[in-house]
Amino acid sequence: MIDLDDNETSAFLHSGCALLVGTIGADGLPRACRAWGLSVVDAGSAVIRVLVEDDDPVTLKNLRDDGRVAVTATSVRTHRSIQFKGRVVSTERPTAEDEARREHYTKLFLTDINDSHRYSPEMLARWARQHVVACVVELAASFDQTPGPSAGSVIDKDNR
Amino acid sequence: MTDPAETTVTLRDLRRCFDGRVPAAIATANGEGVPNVTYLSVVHEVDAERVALSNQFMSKTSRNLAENPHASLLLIDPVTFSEYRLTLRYERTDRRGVVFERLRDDVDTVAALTGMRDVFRLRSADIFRVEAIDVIVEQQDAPGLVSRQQAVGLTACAELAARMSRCADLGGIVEVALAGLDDLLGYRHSSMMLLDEQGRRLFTIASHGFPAEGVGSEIDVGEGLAGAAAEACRPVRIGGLSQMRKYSQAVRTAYEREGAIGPGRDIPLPTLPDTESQLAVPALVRGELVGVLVVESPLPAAFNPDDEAVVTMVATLIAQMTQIERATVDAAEHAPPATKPPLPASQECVHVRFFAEDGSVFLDSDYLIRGVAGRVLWSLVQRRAATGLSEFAIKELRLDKSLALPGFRDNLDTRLVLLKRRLEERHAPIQLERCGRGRFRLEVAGELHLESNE
Repeated sequence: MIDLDDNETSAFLHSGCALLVGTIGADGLPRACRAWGLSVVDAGSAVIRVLVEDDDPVTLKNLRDDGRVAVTATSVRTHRSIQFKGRVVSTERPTAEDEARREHYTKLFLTDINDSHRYSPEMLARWARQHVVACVVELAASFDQTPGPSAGSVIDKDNR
Repeated sequence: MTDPAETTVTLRDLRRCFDGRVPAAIATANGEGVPNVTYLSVVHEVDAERVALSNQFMSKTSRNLAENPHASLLLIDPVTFSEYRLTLRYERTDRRGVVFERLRDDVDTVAALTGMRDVFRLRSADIFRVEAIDVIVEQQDAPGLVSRQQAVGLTACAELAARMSRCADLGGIVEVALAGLDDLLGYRHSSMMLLDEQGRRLFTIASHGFPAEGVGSEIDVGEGLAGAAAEACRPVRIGGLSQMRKYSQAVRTAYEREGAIGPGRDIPLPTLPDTESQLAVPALVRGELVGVLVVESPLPAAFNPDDEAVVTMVATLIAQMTQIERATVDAAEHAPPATKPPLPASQECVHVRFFAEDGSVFLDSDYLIRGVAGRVLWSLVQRRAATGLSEFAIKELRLDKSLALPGFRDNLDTRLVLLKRRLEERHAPIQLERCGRGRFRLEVAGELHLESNE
């Protein structure tokens, strides 16, 4: 598992990375959706808090019922990408702190896209989501998801 | 979830989502139910019920699909930002065939952006049946923000063809074509590259609407978008160049880390500093590649299949007229010399330095041109210095063994046009002028001082 205490890793995860969430249903169907903010709650025990968009009831059910989850953070600017695998500890209504984090993250994410791809801010505002569910996840493994020949390789503390 | 039989959204409605500007995301799960979620570089519509996903390194996704054929795909319309979720079921993997080749073309284009064609290749195309399309968020087109639809009428195309048909030489044809692309058809930024004598490199013979002309710049066939269009002899279109280039660079960096390829030399970038969209179409005549016509725009997703058709038509006209011009020049090489006297020389010394290794020519201390055009100029100034003669026939040059021209399709007339434009662009003290069919005159504003490392 990657060292979440590492300054560079922490900065990456708290930046405007694009966030994807993958879950699995009881019917065996995987489900993709997006998240709008992430924070490291406890680096030592590898616990993160992910703000998952709340407009997909299937994803929310999967998070609550099965709990196995994949979270991928990808830099819009460089395509560097890390995927985490873990299990949901809890899903919660967002706190005021979560809402502030969502707003901050959205600003960073859309700024990265605007700077990189020259979309107008008015268009990008269409993408932003206002409603999220806070999902506490205990991570078990991390993988390099950057496109290239090593995509999918395990990242651990010695191999960042 | 919406059954595709009932939904009003079809795969055809999602076509803009497949242009690669906003990467798609896919979730799969292994046989034990552990999910995996990642971005994809290329998604294609196969038919009304299927999509194909490119597989370059999706090893985990591929392993998952072997155990669990279900997948969930997120797509975003790059114009409206409408978002869709597709429920997929894996059907098969293609390693050849029409669908594979279409995806391979897209992957090759990405690879060409950073010179990775040798290592970054499509392994397979995974074909999925679309079981459902969910509309996550539907947005309307925003006026002024939709991709530029070229409002091209047949009248404008006919006018451009008529203008080109009135041109007397290759330089004029290309110049008029690029200017007409702008004022008649709305393509503000364009450039024309021609294939060199060996069929290995493309060189810019003219450009329009760029801060710097760039005449004479060269790329290998296969490099960059223009090189990809030349190699495949098909139009290549990118609507989000900065996104594609970053993706391509990320892959290249990963390969470099693995030692698969060394640090790359820079591929020539579009000459517009903020190009987002680029369309490169091959100029073909009798099935043979003559060159590549490129149009660019700072707007994202600026070009569509209609633009491909229009630019292809213009490129074809240029190719045909280029061939006609070449044939005409060949036939007229015996024409009598014109009588216009050379310009009187000033008192300044024009210092010409030549480097035989690559045919580079420097005027005073400034680089001018290299390759065949450089050797041609060196031959002409030597001849001028030795004999005082300023007029020459193209046929004379063809017989000059120092130019090492190939026997077949030497492109010499084109090189002279290129050289002429380059000298004009640089306001050089040496200029070339046409003085009759198949004849040129070298004008020198000063006394020639020649230096060579031969």
